[in-house]
Order: sequence, then C-alpha cells, then structure tokens
Amino acid sequence: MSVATFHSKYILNRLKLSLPYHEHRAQAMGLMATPSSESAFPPDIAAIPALGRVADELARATLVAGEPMDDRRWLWRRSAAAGSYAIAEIRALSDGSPDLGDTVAFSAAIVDRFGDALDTPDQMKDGLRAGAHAAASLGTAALSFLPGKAVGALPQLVMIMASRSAGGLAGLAEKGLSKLLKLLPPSPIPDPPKKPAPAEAPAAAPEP
Amino acid sequence: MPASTSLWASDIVIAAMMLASRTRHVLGRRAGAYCLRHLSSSDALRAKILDAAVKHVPALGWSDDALAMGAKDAGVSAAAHGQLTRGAVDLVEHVASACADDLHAEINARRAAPAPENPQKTVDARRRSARTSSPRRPASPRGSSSPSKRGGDRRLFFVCRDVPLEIYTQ
Repeated sequence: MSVATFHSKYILNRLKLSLPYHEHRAQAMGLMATPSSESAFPPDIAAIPALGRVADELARATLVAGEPMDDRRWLWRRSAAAGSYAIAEIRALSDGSPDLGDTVAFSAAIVDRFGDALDTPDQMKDGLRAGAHAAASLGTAALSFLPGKAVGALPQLVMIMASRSAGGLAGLAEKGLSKLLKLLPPSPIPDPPKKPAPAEAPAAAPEP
Repeated sequence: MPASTSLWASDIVIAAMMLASRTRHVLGRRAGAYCLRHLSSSDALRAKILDAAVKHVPALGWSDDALAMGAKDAGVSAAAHGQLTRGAVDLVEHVASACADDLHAEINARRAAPAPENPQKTVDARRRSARTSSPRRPASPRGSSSPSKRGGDRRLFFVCRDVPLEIYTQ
C-alpha cells in the first residue's frame, strides 16, 4: 500500500471509531475548538493537541523500517495527515450516509491530492489548496451544524473575511488550514509500527 | 590558633550546607510523594467517572448530565464530576484519547515489512523479472480506466522509489 492509501485507510478507521458518537460530532467539535479562556494567549484549544496526536498516528502508520526520514519530511507527512483528517472531520459533520460513506469517498479524494507529500512542499501546498477548495465548496454549511454557543457569529464573520480575502472563501480556508498546521505541537520521528512483543510465558517451576 | 579556628569554621559551613541539602531533599521527596499519591488517586477517580460517562454520551450528548450519570455509575456523588474543571471538554478529550490509543494498537497490529538493504534494487529486479517472465498484458480498451484507477497508478509510482514491494501486498 502507498502512503496515501495508508492515510485513507487509517482516516477511515479513525472515523469508524467515532461512529457511536456521530450524532453529537458537531457538539464535540464545538467544545474542542472553543478556547478554554478568552484571555489566554496563545489560546488554549483542546482540538490542536488532539489533532496532533491523530496526525502522529496516521503518519506513523506510513513509516517503513529502513525508510530514510528526516525532520522536514516527517513534518510534511504529519501536516498532510493532519490536513486531510481535519477536512474529513469537517465533511463528516454533515454526512448522513450509512457508515460515513460520503466522508470516506471525500477524504480519499483529498488524500489523493495530497499525494504522498514526500519530496517537495509543492505537493503539500497542492494538497492544502485542494482541501481548502473542497472545504470551501461545503460553504458555511458545516459551520451551521456547530452549536451557536461554540461558533457564535463565526459563519457571518467568515463570509465577511472571505469577501475581503484575495482568494475568496477558498483562499481564506487555505490560509486558516496553513495556520492550524503551524500550531501542531512538535513531535519526534517515531519508530515504524511493529507488533507488540508477546507477553512472557510464566516462568516454569524449578525442577526439584 | 588560627589554623584550627579556620578549620572549625569551615566544618560548620560544610555541616550547615549538608543539613540544608538533606532537609531540602527530605522535604522535597516527602512533598513529591504526597503530591504523587494525591494526584494518582484523583486521576484514577477522574478516569473512572469519564469511563462511566462515555456510555451516556449517545443518549445525553457531551454534557454535564452525562458526567453526573457517570459519577453516579462510578459509585460517587453526582456532584463529584465537579472536579473535572473543563466539564464536557474533558469528556470529549478522554474519548479522543481513547480512540487514538485504539488507532495506535490497530496500526501496531500491522507488522511493518522489513526493508531490504537496497529497496531500489529489489524493485528494479522485480520489474525486470515481471517484464521478462510474464506475457504482455492485453491493452485495456481506450477510456476504460477510471480517474481513481489512474490516481492509484500515480501513487504507486511515487512510492516505489522508497518502499519495498512487499508492503503493497499487505
């Protein structure tokens, strides 16, 4: 399987894990995206470390033993994973299809645009742009699913900012996504996934 | 006797330093142990309440009501969920963390194929072997390949530079 296929597969698996709570997904996203304190700077947003953790796992799934990897490539891969997962979560907000089939197809297309995000940041930018356009195509519909307390006047604010932004809503989404990825907490390159060692057999009784 | 006086003074200084260090060490350790015990018991209770509250999320949503029910199920007062300072955010974070743990275990369950010393050589050799040993595949009719199929081929091209073929068959 390629890196992109791994991303798709494990994004699907992660979304499946949240299926029991799908009805309350918007509420969960609103709670996680709301800063814990209005005065704190930088804002303490619970969603960012949570997204970082998922991105680390998705990116780790693609690692292969002996694969050359440096900090820069690891960052691109994490960012691609975080970007595609974040967009998939936004799509899932308004997904009523059984087993989130629409979200799965949507995220596969986004991941495909990210490619493997291995060699150049251009691939990363291309993926981000595609993801932002896709998110913008959803318009503010996804935001309207969030509880009013969490988003407040955000949909209206987004539309005003989009009208002033050079690239419109897609440009604004791209900029926002890039900023979000920059907020991800740093993480060291982990070891490739491996099966946990089997539990040790109980020590045999000493022979008399 | 100036020599003995200076020796006595330096002994006092060293003894005082040792005493201070020992006191700090003992106090610090005891304080640390107290904090550790206190934190671990309250963390265990938090985890117990959160684990129990998760069952009520599908019915009650991410709410204080779910936390109160969780506290009841955990055998403590319904008001005990007040120690979750961020309320429902703690509950969402708990579930997100549990999902990430599940994903971690699932990913680990896939054994990573060990890479050969020179993956490029292996890929080239396999391509050569496939080219020479298998008959040419019949060309697919024009327009029969879907965009997703073409995307898949492109991904394969990107990856096979670095990754051995074994993992494609997993």
